[in-house]
Amino acid sequence: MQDPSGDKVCRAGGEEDGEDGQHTSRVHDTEADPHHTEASSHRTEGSSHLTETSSRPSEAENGHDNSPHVNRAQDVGTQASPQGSLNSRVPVEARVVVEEAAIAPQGEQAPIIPGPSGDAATTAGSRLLEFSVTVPFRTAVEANIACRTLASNIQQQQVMVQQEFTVNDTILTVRWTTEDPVLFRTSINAFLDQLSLVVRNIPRPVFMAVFKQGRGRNN
Amino acid sequence: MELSGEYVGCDGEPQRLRVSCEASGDADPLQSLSAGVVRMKELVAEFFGTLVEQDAQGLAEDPDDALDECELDSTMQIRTL
Repeated sequence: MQDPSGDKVCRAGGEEDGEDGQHTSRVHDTEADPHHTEASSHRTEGSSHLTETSSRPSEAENGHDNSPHVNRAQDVGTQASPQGSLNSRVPVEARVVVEEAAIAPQGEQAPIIPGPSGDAATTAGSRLLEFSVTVPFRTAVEANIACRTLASNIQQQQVMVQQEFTVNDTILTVRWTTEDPVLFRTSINAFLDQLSLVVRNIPRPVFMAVFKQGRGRNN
Repeated sequence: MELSGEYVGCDGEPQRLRVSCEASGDADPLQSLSAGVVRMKELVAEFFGTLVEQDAQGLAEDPDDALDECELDSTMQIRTL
């Protein structure tokens, strides 16, 4: 049984070798003749292979140089097919990975949306009350004087109510933030009382300046 | 010149209080502002007076909050004991 397989291997090698291969295959055919009846079937198979072999060498003898290239091209094509299948599989796997990656963030994002932080922020925001007063002055100097005076007087109340003083050119803005409307009323009333005093005291420097100028002219 | 106040409550909607401080003729602008401050003080007292009353009524009329407070008180008493 080993002999037929050996013959096949030799014939394949013969095809690759070319002229030498052809001679080798013929020798094997001659040696095969004395085998028994069982070998005859192998001979038949061998003859079919020989036929194929004979056809190919004839093409080579005729001067068709393209035949080896054709074979090589076929071989390359054959080799490419598994690579192609691999290439086709890789994108599929990549797609699967991408889909999995896409799914994961969605899963992770789901619990964040109804999270307690959002609810807590909303609750905290809804509880805070805000009140602001905008006071227009004639000049930026007056606005700054009022701001410094009022801020220094009311600093003690910041423990209970958050206050913020801002001056933008000639406009003084004061903002209160708290959760209790009663504290609003107390703080804002105190501020307005102080503001009234500050406004009344501002004209004095102007009056003194005019008075001094008048004295200078008299002298 | 305009003296203005703005309140933003729990609902997030702003409510504005406005007082005009225009000086008439030779009047001093600061005197007009001083008068405006007095007027604003009156508006604030009226506004927050109403607001505080509404807040108090809301607390009194809400039975769920009252029950919650009772539960909290009982829990504190148990812990104290």
